[in-house]
Amino acid sequence: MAINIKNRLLNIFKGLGSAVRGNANELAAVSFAAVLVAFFALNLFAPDKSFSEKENRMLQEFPDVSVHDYLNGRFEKSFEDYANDQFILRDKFIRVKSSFDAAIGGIKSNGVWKGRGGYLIEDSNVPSGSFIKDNSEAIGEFIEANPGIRARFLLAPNAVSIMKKKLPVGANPADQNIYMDSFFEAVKKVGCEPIDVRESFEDAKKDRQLFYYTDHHWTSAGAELAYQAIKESFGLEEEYSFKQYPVKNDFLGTMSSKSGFSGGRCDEITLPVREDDGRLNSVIFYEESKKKTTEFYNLDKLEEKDAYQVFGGTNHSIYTIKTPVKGNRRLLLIKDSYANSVLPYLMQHYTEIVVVDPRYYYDNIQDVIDVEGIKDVLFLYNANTFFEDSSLKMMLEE
Amino acid sequence: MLFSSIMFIFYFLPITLGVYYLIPKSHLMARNAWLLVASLVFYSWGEPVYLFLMIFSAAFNYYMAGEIDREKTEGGSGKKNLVFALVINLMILGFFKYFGFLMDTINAVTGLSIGYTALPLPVGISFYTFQALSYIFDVYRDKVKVQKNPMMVALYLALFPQLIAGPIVNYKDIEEQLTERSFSFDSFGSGAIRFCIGMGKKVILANNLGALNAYVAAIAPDELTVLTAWIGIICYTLQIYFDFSGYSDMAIGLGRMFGFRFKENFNYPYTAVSITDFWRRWHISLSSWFRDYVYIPLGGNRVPVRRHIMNLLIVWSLTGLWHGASWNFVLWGVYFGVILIIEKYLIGGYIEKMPSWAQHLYTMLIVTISWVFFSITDIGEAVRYLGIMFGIGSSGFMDSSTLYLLRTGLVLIAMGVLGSTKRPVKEHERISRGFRWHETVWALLVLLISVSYLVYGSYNPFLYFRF
Repeated sequence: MAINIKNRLLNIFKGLGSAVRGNANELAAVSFAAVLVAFFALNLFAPDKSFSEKENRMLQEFPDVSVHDYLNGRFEKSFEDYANDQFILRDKFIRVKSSFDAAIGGIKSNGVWKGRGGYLIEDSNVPSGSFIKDNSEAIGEFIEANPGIRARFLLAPNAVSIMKKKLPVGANPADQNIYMDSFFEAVKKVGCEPIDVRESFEDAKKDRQLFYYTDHHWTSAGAELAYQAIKESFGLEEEYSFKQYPVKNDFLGTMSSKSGFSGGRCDEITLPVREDDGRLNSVIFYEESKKKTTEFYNLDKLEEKDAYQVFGGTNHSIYTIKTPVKGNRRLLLIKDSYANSVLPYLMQHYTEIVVVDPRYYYDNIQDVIDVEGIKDVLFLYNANTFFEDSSLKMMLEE
Repeated sequence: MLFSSIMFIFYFLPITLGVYYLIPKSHLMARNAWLLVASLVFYSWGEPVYLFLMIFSAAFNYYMAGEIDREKTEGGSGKKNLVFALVINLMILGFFKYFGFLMDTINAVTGLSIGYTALPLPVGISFYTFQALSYIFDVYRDKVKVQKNPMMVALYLALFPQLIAGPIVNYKDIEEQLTERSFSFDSFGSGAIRFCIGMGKKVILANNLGALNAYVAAIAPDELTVLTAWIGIICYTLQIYFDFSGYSDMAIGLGRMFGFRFKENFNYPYTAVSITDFWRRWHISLSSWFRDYVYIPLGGNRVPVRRHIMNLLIVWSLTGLWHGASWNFVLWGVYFGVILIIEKYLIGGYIEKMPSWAQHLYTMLIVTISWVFFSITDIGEAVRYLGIMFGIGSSGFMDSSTLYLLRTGLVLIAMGVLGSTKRPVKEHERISRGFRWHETVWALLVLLISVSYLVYGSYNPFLYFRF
């Protein structure tokens, strides 16, 4: 049998050899077979990833095989997701798709609208059926277990609702305000004070740029507005005013790479500096790598593609910021990346901030509160990411 | 499993082809056995329960064909067995496909509300049932020899390239190929090119056009404008053509890669000059099935006019019903039946004398309107949509949604319209003459773009789940 297969392969290779010199069809045969073999092998041997930075979601890993799952179709479904999610050069392929979309005149590509005035605006995500109920209940239970804390939830609106006027004609995104309203109502009921910045954003958007043109985050100006609301809600007394210090003016953010739309306007990234030039010598401690640093800003990230990472770097599961601020006030910040650009402001008021990203944090959050003696808890998310994210609920229920 | 999936292209296909061609050409039965195994995996993927139905169908039809043959060699007519096989096949199809429809109709007519649970439709059942019937009929009519090997009957029914969306292959067309077929790099390559092009038609054109149609379908009728309604149905017209013919291309291409030759299923139907011509070019395997196994047995056109009209109406109601268990499909079929009768007896000669642009306009208008009834299940809503297309009850001529659709869809629609004609293929042949790599580069480019859509998981509907 072994010899047989060897002969067979030799025969096939001989055929391939003559086909390469053959006519158009024979060439196509060899090329197509080569593509299939190459991708099959690459997919087989390339290591799998569990998380996509670009798409900000967990990827399907190889599903467990069982007769039961096969018979009810679950294995097949997972396997198809696996084949898609772990496909070799997946990000490159998505780029091809978005470029093609853009080339054939689309004004929406990979969930991003090509808006007016250079805005690339991400479509809104809608929470699934029981999402609002499940999450507010989890928050309620968390508050019940920690009666001494003051819990606040800042759910940030996205450009899709604040910059609605910049959407292209005919764009019909779902109205995120409806879902934000009902979420705020639900968390209020369980004892968590909502922080709603929509009104102040609506007022300020005429004279300040609150969202990046090409990135899904808010700008430092937007973050400052959010900070004002947080300050008021927690009753932080010290008053500081800030000026914006530009550090990059050719930023093309994730909406640009996600959509493939070219000709977007470049963004400016600014860092807030206190008017009184007060500088705090903070120390940041990263738990997972046990590293200490005094630099919150990762200025080297400005040279990289995702320059928003200048605010506190890439996604860390948990880190602690210790500042020389007096008064021994401690904050637990449970957040997504929108909070990163708010942190420079908050650092002026807290002696210690523990920053947790539930997407990467798998331990018990209760321990953090007990050990650090925390009184203030702030949840800070943007509506689009939050409505699609189950990690907060999972962490709180841990 | 769907052709238009990463799973199929990059896991199922390489494994199936790889093992198939590792088996030497001289062991054709081993290749067939492997192909049957692969086909059954393909069919059962995601819904293994219906595998038993498929196996039962193969075994039953194998047995009944044998019985018919035995009866005939013993001097009988085989009619009893034929009728029995027919009834059982149609009962299975009826039970899975038309039971819910029947109950709904009974409830609606009698005003009762009899509860029932309709089962999910086994994918491809309409296609393989018709294939089985063509085999049974042809054995009965001595057109083919009875197949002694049950595996061959199973392979004929389950052969994965044409299993879920056709073409409907007649047994007589494939009988020989089951035991003898030639393999060459040339036909493998032409199959691969065909497969890639079909994939592009489905994934790049049909899916994107379908997304535009879905956008229109989601607009409330009160807010629909005339132009939006037209854009919506034009997108659907193009979507269904590229989806369906793309699937047929992939099936034909895959068949060639495994050494089979299937008949063509579409021949540029949107270049037809009349509805009669259209139906010679659209889903050819279905219309010829109805012609061979229903229309001609009913007497065809060699009967008095009145009877002929009757025959046509029967055939076309059945054709409509085949496309889905719902009254709108029956209406759709009868609509075509009536127009074919009108063309045959009243205006055929007049159409022939019209200038060619008028012939095309006439044909496409009739066809496009037919898709309104095809795509909208509720007949009342379909009528309303049709009204809006002609300004009745519309909310104006155009609005911002129309602008949006024009802006996003114009290039796609233009590509679709152009792609429905022979023009691109001709141009392609002209350019590629003398350049060996041209076809390969083109096919792989189309595949690359298609795969990039599939990897991202874009809108990828399956239109034949009702067939």
